[in-house]
Amino acid sequence: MKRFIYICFFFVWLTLSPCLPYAQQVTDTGQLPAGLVQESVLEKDSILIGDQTWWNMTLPAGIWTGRKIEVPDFSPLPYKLTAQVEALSGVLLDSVVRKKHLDSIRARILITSFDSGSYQLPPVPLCLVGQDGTRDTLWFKGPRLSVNTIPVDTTSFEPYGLKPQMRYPITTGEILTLVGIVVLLSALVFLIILIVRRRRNHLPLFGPVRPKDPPHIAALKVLEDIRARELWKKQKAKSYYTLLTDTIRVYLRDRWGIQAMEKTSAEMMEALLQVEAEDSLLTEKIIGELGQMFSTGDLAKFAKYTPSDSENEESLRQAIRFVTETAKDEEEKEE
Amino acid sequence: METVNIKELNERIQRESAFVDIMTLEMSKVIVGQKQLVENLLIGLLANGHILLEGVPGLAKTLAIRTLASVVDAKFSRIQFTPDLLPADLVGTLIYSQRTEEFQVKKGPLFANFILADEINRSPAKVQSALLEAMQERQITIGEHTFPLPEPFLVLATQNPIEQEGTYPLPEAQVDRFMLKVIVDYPKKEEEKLIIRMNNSGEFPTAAQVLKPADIRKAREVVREVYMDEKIERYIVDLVYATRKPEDYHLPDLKSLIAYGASPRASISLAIASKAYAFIRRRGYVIPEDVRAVAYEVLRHRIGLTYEAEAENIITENIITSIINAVEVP
Repeated sequence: MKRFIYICFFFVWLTLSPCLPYAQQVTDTGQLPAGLVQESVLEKDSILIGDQTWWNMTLPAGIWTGRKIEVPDFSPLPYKLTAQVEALSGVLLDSVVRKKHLDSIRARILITSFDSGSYQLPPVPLCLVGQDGTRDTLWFKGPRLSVNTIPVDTTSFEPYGLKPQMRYPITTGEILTLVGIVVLLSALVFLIILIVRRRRNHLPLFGPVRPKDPPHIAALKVLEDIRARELWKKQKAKSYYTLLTDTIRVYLRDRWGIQAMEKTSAEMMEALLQVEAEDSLLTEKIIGELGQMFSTGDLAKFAKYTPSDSENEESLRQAIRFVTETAKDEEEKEE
Repeated sequence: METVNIKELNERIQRESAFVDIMTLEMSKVIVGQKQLVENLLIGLLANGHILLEGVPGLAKTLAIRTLASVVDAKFSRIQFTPDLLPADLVGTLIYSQRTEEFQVKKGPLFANFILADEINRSPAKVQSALLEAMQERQITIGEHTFPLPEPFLVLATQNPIEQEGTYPLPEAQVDRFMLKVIVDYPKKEEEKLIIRMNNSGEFPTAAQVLKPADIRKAREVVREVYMDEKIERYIVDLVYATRKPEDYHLPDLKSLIAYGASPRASISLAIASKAYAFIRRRGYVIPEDVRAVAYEVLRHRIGLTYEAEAENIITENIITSIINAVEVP
């Protein structure tokens, strides 16, 4: 029994022995083992340091018929073929078709080197396994690879022959795209500026801008509306005086730039007296009348005071008189 | 619609506020100038609100308070706040009587109508806190007994803004209980000249006692009757709200400067102080001018400033000015 096991083991060893690592054998002896030997070629037999090239091996026609091709395992990548040359891919098989017929099979390996010099590549075995399990090894001789370093100018320590990046001519399509983007951006910026300006000036965002009424026209329109509503006759003296005083406050703001909405009656009178010196249309008499109107307004607004009809009408008259007598014509304003 | 006879209301105010002139006259005999200080003391007295006076030494803060107390026939206590003062020194304590073999209450100096808490920030927080119950509840608890304080009861505290070493800043809760914080400024040149003359002559006039506590109580009732329209209430709320959310009043720049805004107690104080101011001005109703006149005194100690504001040397007065100039007047 023991003898039988030894015989079996011998036959297994005999069958698998061609696929064992041959490189070891070659590098040690410098001679190829027995079997089919083929030439192989490099796409570029001279490369710059760090450059890559394909190592091509062609299997002759018919040799693979009915056989399976087994390639050596180069994992993990990158695989050191020699101390200086690395395989960046495994053995890649590719069929070459000529006149619609399979002509040959090409095996390729992508290689590189990061060390300058001339290197003899090791032979590569491909194993052809027949259907009955018979194995033939096809050896490809390793060509010589020359790796050149980049010549450097020793005075400036810069490589020789540096070429600038290639500049392609700009096409019409590219120009049109750029022009389109610029036009779009300009339109967008113009739109934003327009919106901001209109919002700042309290104008409608879209549509034509209507010219604003001069302060006295706007005030007189509101005062006319207040007169038409006759709020005091509807027991709404407080609302009536609120509207009346607010209209005059807006007029003061638009006419002289007095921040009247945030001022008390006394502060407004004080501000008007200050303006009086610069504006000939303002007189002490008219300011006094306005003060009287504001006093009545304060009483109606804050003291539950109910003024008589004649007082209410007089207050409105005082307000209208103040506006008409201090109105500034547009022509005068332009002057 | 309920209407108010403005003539009748004003006549009543004229009648009831007659003592204001007499009181001011008596005080001006002793205090030269400082009209704003005297007016604010009157507001505090009429509005039943405590007052915090701040100013450098020698501006007649203490003298003004002593004079105010002297024109009223009321009990006056002066407490000099020192670092070793104890709460019992203010409110009183229980003392064991060997004769009756029981504890007897020994009332402290807070049992008076007018309390002058001189240099209040010289005492630690526990002593300042002893004032809290008295100021807010107007009562004092000693042991198991609670005693109501006499009416009127007014705490007038002084503090010095320049000497900060060895002082205890008043906590926010305590400060908020003061209705008004009055900043006392230097007298004018003419006024200072008068002060020199008075001192050189060696004759120091004294104020006559012209009021009784009952008169003050009556005046306070009238002050409460001063009419405040809903528009004025809204204006007050707007001013106080602007300290909390300035961005809602077109003041986004103030947001980063205010750490915390004024409390609802500020709204209450602003309303009652405005009424008192209207009363002093002989008016039976409040107008926006009244609110503005007391706004600084009511709000300045109720707005917290951020570090950013302090770094930019911004004080609460700047913030109040911005708010007053931005909030619409009714």
